[in-house]
Amino acid sequence: MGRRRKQIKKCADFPKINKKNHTVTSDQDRAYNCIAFAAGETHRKWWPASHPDAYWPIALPQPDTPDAFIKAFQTLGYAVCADDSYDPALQKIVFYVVFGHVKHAAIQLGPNKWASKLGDCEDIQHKKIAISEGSYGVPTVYMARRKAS
Amino acid sequence: MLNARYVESPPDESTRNRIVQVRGHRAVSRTAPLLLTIRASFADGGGEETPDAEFRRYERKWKRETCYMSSLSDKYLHPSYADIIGMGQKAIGPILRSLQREPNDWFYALRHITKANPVLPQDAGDMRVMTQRWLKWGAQRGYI
Repeated sequence: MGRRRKQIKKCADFPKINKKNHTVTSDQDRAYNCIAFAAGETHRKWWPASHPDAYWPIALPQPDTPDAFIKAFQTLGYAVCADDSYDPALQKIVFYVVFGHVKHAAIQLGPNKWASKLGDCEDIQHKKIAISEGSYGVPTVYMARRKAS
Repeated sequence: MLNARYVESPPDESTRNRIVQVRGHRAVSRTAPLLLTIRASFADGGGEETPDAEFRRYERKWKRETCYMSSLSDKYLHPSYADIIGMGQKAIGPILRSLQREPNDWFYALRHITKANPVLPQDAGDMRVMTQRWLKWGAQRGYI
């Protein structure tokens, strides 16, 4: 792959993105997706489904509902939390949802600072709004776990 | 496949004709569908599309329109992905040659077309390993 754009252009997928609310931080890479990235992996894709093309930590086939993602990330020590308020002792993630289907995950880096893997494309650091209200939907479910000391 | 669309309201409405655009280059009267078909055929290279060309046409559109998707289910539901599965056996070679160029999410299509699955459960999600297993499968059967 190896390609890296300076910016992600505003488009139907990302109607809110602009130069000021994101930074591209990696080359394009199809080896992993946003869920794997949020789980801390970059060598395989994570997705809940009845087909065997992606890894999922729970053996049974799962729909792509928030409940399936909550159960999967509970296996990594995460628990559902109320919001995105920043606590340096906690690692938080957020799932973006469209009509009850999870489309994306991001991991919190700081106050209103998040990191994401965009499908088959680059990793970015961004404000939460940057990738909202397009094909990823809106930030809906937050989870947190205590950071390793 | 005919790549054409109708555009309503031409400038001169008195003619009551609609303009047909073929790939944005050719325009003919809607009253001449046979001519349109012939011109569309020439626009595609003057004859039958090869399986590789047909696959690449679907692949380009699919990659362009799904590049931000993480959901494999959404990627597999894209119309161009369905078109590739619809090519049947003649898609196997083009898909495997595409995998030789770069790993991508062609495993679902390959399973459906070939009714085979050389990928082991513990390799699920690992694009590099899954690609290697399919390329080995294809080489053993003379597809590549």
